[in-house]
Amino acid sequence: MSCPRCDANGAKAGAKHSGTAVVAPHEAATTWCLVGTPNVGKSSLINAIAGSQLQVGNWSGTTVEVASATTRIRGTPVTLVDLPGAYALAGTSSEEDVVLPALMAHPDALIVNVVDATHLARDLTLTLELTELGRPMVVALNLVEQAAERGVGLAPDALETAVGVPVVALPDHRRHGAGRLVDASEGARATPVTIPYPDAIADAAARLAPTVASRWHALATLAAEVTDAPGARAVAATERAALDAAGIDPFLAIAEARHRAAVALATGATLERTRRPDPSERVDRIVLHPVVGPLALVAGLALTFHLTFAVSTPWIDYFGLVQEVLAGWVAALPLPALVASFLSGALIEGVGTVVSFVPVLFVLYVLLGFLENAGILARVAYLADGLMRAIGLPGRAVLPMVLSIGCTVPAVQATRTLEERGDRLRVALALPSISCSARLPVFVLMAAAFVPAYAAVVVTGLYLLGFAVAIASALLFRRLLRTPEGSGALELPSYRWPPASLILRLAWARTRAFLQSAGGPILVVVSAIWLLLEVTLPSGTSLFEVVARALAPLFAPLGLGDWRIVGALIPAAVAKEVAIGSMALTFVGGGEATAPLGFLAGLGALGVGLLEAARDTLTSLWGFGGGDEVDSVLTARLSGALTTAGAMAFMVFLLLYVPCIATLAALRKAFGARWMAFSIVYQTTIAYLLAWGVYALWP
Amino acid sequence: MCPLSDLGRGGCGRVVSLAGAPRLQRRLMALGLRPSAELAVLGRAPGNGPLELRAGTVHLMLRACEARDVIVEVGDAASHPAPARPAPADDAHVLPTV
Repeated sequence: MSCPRCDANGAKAGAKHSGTAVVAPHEAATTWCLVGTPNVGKSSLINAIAGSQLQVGNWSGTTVEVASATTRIRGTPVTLVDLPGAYALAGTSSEEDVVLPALMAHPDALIVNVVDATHLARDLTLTLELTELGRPMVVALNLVEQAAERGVGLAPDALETAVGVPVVALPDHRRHGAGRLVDASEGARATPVTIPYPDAIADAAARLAPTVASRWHALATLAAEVTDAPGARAVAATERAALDAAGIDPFLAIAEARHRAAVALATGATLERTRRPDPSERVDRIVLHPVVGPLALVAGLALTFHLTFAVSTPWIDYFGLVQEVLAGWVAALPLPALVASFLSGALIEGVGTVVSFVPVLFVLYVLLGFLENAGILARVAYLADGLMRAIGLPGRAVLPMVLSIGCTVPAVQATRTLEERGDRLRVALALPSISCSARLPVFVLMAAAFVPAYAAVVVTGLYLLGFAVAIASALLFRRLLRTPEGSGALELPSYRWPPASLILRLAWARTRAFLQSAGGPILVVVSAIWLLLEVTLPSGTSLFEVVARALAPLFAPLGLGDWRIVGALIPAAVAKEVAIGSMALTFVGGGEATAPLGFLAGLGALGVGLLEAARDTLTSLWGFGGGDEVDSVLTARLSGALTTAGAMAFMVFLLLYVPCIATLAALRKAFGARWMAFSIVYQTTIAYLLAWGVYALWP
Repeated sequence: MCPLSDLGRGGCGRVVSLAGAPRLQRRLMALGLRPSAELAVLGRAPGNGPLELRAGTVHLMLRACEARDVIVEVGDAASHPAPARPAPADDAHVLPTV
C-alpha cells in the first residue's frame, strides 16, 4: 500500500489553492442549470450531452462541488451547470444551500428540471417550486424505464399540459434523450400553473411579491424559509403576524398545498398499473441486515481501501522510474552542475511529486464516483452511523477515516462525500493525526533500532495513538466550531449501475482540478527544500545544517537535540518517509550522484517499467507486494545519537506534526488558507506536547 | 401516539406532527415525512444506529434522535404501506390535511 507520494525516492510535496468556481459561463453561451433531487441522474444527462467537456470546481465561496460543461448545441455554445441535488429550493444542507443562489446568479439561464419518474409526486413538488420562480424551464423525466419496471406507466404529454412547460421523457439511452431535450428547450417558457394556496396565504404573497424577486420568494418569505429581502422586511413582518393571528402556519400550509398539487399532477400523469416493489429493497433486506450488514460494511471498506492503494501503487512506482530516467538523461547532458541539480532535484522532483498523486486520486475518484452513484455510499452511512456518532462524526466519515490509514490526501478528498460543511471540516482536520503509510517505514526503522523486541507493539501503539488523537480532535472541534451537523435524514436511493463514461470523466475532471490547484505550491516547496540542501555557505556548512542547528535547541526538551534528527523533520514536512533519506544522508553520508543514462537505455527502461506496472496492477488485485528493507548502518548510528525515550518522542512528533505538504494543499483547496494554517499550528502543538510527555514519562 | 423512535422494526404508523429545528423539519417534509404520511420501520442499524424507513415511495434512514421529533399514530398491519399493493400514483394514498 502506499501514499501517492510515498513509495518512490525523494521528497514530495503539494500545496493547493482554494477552490475556484468553474461555473463562469462561456462567453456568449446560453446557460442551462440542471436542477433536481439527489440521485436523479443529472450528471448522467450532462455526461450524455457534453461529457468530454466535463469540469468540476467549487461553487465560489463554498466547499460545494459543481460540475459544468460547455458544448455546442445546434451551433450555439451552451454551458450546462450541474447543481447539487436538492429536495427543495430553500436548502436543508450545505449542498442544497448552493442551488437557489446559483439559479439567481444566472438570471438568464434555462432551468432544466430533472424529475425522477419513480418518485414522481415528491419530485414534482420541487418542479412546482421552480415554476414559481417565473423563469423559462423544461422538465426532463428520468428513470422512466425503472418506473415502468415497478409498474408505473407515465404520460409525459398529460404532465406537459398540466404543468405548462415542455416535458421530455429521457430514455435510458440518454444520448437520444439529449436530442429531445434540445428540441424542447426551444419551447421553454415560464409556466402558467397556479397552486391553490389558502386565500390568506395567496393574498399575503401577492402583497409581498412587488418587494421580492419572485412569487416563490414571496411564499418562502412568509414561511420564513429565506431571510427577508431588505425592502421586504416591514411588509413581511406584518403579513406573518397577520397569518399568525389567524392561526395559520404559513410553512405547513404552503408545503401542504404544494404537495397536494404535486400529487394531483402525478396522479394525472400516471397510467394505472399494478405496482411492484423496488428490487433494491429486497437487496437491502440482506445488505442492511443487523448481522450481515456490518460484515458487508467491513468487507466493502477493506476492498475500497485495497483497490485505492493497490491498483495505484504500480503506477506511482512507474512515475518514480520515469523520474529516475529523466534525471539520468539530465545527468548525461553537458550542463553546469547547478543547472543539472536544479533540473533533477527541483523541477523533475517537483513535477514527479505532483504527478505521483494522479494514480491514487484517479482510482479513488473512480471508486467514490461509483459508490455515490450506485447508491452504496448511502448504505455505508446507514450502517456506520451508530458507531461513528459515538465519536461525534456522521456515518459517512468512516470512509475518509479508513482511507487515511493509506494516505491522508485522498482521505481529505473523500470528505467531500459529507453533505454538511461543518462535518467535512471536522473530519478533515482530524484526519492528519491518523498514521498513513508514509509514516510506517520511519516507525519500522526507528522501532527496529531502539526497541527491537517490542517493535510491533510500538508501531501498533503509534497507530492507536494516531486514531485516539484523531477522535479526540473530532470531538474537540465539534465543541469548538459549533458548525451545524449534517442531518441523519438521508434517502437510501435505489441501487443503480452508473455509466462507466460518467464515472471515468468525473474522476479525471476531479483529478485535474486537484493538480491544477496543488501543482504550483508543491513545486514551490520542493524547490525551496532543494535550495536549502544545495546552498553551501562560505564556511563550508550547508544552509540545511545551519537551519537545523538553529532549530535544535527548541527540540532539546523532547530529547531531540541532535541537529541531524531535527533536520530530518524539515524535508519530512514534504512527505514523512523522507525523514529516512535525510537521516541516511546526514548520519551515513554518501548520497549517490545520479548516474548518466543513455537515451535508448532510458527508453528501454521506461518500456519495461510500463509492462511491469500493467502486470503489477493486475496482480495487485489479489494481494500486496513485499515489505521495506531496514538499513542496518543507519540503525546502528541512530542508536548513538538518540536515547530510547528520544526515539519514542521523535516517532510521536513525526506522527502528529505538520501534515505533509500535499495534505495541506488538499486542506487549502477544500477549506481555504486559514484552515490550512490552523491545521499546521494545531498539529504541531499537539505533536510537541505529546512528544514532550512521552519523553518525560518514558521509563 | 408516540415518537417514531419508539416504533420497533416492522412497526408502522402515520405521521401526526413534526417538532425540532425548522431546518430538520423542512428536510423531513421534503423527504416525504409530512404530517399524514404513512410510514413503516423496515429496520434499525446496529449499535444504536439509525432507523430504516419507507414513507410513501421514499426509502430513507433517520437517526433515532431525529426520529424523536416525529410524532406518529401507531398503525396496524392493514395500514402498512406494503410494497406490492396497487396504487394509482406515488404518494396518492396519502390524504393531506393542512
